[in-house]
Amino acid sequence: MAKRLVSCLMVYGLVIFFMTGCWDEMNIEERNFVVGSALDVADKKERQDMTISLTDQFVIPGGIGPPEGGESADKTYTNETAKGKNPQVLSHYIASGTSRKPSYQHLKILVFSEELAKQPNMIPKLSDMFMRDVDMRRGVKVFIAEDKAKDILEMEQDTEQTPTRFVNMLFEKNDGSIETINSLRIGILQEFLLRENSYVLPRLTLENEELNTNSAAVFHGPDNKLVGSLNARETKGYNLATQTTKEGMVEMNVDDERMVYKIADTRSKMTLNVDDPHHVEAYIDVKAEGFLGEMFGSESVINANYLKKIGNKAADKMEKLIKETIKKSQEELHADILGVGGEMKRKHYNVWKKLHNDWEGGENYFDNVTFHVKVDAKMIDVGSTDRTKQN
Amino acid sequence: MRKFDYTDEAIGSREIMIAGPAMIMGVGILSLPNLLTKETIGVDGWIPIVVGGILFICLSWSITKMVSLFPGKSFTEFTSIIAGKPIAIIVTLIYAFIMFLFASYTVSNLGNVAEKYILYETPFQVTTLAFFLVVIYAVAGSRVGLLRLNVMFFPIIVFIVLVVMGFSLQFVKTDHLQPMFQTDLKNYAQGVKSALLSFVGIGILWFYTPYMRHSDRAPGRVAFGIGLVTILYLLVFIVTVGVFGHDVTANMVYPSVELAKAIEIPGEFFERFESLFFVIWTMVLFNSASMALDVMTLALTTIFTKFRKQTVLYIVAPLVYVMAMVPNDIVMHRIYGTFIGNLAFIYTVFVLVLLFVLMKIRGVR
Repeated sequence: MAKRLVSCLMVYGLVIFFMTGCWDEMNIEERNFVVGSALDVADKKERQDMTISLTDQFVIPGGIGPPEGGESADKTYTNETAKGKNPQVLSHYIASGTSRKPSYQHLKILVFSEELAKQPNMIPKLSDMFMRDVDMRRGVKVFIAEDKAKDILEMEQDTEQTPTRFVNMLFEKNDGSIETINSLRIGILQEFLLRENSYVLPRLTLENEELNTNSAAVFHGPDNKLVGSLNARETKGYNLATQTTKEGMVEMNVDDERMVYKIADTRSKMTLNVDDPHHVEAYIDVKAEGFLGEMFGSESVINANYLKKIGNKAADKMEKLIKETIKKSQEELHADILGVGGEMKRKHYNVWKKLHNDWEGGENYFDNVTFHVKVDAKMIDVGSTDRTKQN
Repeated sequence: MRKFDYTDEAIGSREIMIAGPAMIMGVGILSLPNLLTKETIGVDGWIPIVVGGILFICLSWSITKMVSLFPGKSFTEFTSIIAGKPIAIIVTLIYAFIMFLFASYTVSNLGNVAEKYILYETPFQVTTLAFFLVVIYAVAGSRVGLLRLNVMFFPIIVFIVLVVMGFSLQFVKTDHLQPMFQTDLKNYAQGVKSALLSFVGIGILWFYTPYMRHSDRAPGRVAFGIGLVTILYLLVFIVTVGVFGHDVTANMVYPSVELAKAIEIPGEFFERFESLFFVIWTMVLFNSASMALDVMTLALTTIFTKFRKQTVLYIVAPLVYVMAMVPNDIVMHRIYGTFIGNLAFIYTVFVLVLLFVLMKIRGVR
């Protein structure tokens, strides 16, 4: 009997011991969700570490709730900014000034300003916390803002509850389009940072409070710094040359009449000839399929030869776009954004091992690469109308 | 309907088939891709996994084969027949010690990852104690019951791992799977060394096989079980490298956890997949820890035959817990893990070779 009592007491003691602490108890009402972060240059001093500013966007759950609550004019988000040297310290500082514990588990976007990105190795330094902190997810999308990154989080727009959500959804929708760079998850950014090749990031510009997404920020691989940007045409060329796309418009003239080739999908393939490692030959082979989107002329389009002609014109235009991008990357940016180095590493590892230090730096062998671009554009449909005008 | 025949205390061949994998997977699966990519180039790490797998299939086959030559004799009994009583006792004691370290490492591993990813504020000591008490409870009960619990857990574990891999497939980039076969021989050897650490724990077969109903069936079944783990490891490795690429995998602490974190099922319906992953991972660790502890008590009771299993367990359990508190940072933890892995592997091979040679010399049959 006494033995039983003792063991009972021991069990109760243990139960009480484990009931004292819900150490990690945290009610969702006590949380503050950070959905977007922006990093800017706060103060640029020579010979010193740069002072940066971190802006966190918090959602206000009350403002977002269901619309039947009557007044929906409540503010749905708030931005908090802090200045300092380390993002981790700054986010802690911001946290200490809010009444709720911030949670980064739902962080959706991270924006760097171009000014910040121009500093060598600034992106790896500042994004470290976003990859190290176990709260962060690897799906956070990374962007470069032409002007201040903070402006993106303060942007006016009407369709979504927060600017962050707007940008996030916009890029989710535009993935696979030739006009914008595919959204870049921070997990992939880590891969880019660890590799030595150049890469591009989606770039956001604000013109009269309107968000523009059809340009790209180019980073030089070896020192991870922003060296320039691609304009709308070059962005198209980049996407056509390197990505698998499923959406986009190509405008061209056929017999002096404007026409629009509507892309259904494109696929690109690169093969290399490394017989002479210092003058690599790269063959970019793009296969496109698309529809006739629009025509100003009066020719009948249900005609195999004519369709072929339109297809060839579209292919010529795409080839031109790709060549513009290549020219810029070799002559102006000296950055291998087309992925020749990466392809060489994959397929010709021994050659790559010998010259990778002189690929985009040193001797700059990338600039000597001869590109052979071949585009094949098929016209698979003309839509529901043959002609809208008699000759 | 099949007859219910679980009322005996004999281990079936299915239980022994699962025991190997259940023991092995806990430690390996989280950091295996990271350890291997550190040594090799591209996805070449699959070769060390296959080599390690084959090596361990042979090893486990030989162990069970040797045990089945002495049906009904426990490890200490048949080693005394082969090598004499004093050596048998020493060999068994060292095994008990390795299992002691292994159990404490597993417990501390659980606390480490829980503190890192789930329970940030909860003291390490409390998390591990809660876990360890359940382990002790399991070990204090029926031995066969423990092994049958493995059989119940294992399909769940495999299922969740397959689900994680399945949902990750959409992120696999074929670009990440090249270049191939560029690693040099020295690094392959290093890779095999790392891969071996992920297969640690088959020493339990020495102790469990004697309690089987038909121990002659064990070798084939056990080899099959280790083969399963090899395939699972291969899958995890290739998918992880396929998703993250070689460079990132080599720079992550627990790539498999990140893989589970990266899963987003379309429609924002299910984002926190890693919570499920941690559940099954805890199950794996529970299996490993309880078997290690059980084998330790088993080894000790075969030497100190006067004591009951429970008595031995209650004496050593606090020591295991104290030992689990020793590696208190990530670097120490890795060193501890590598040490135990190497020790267990070398010792298992050593014992196997020793017994085999003595058997041949003395002509024991």
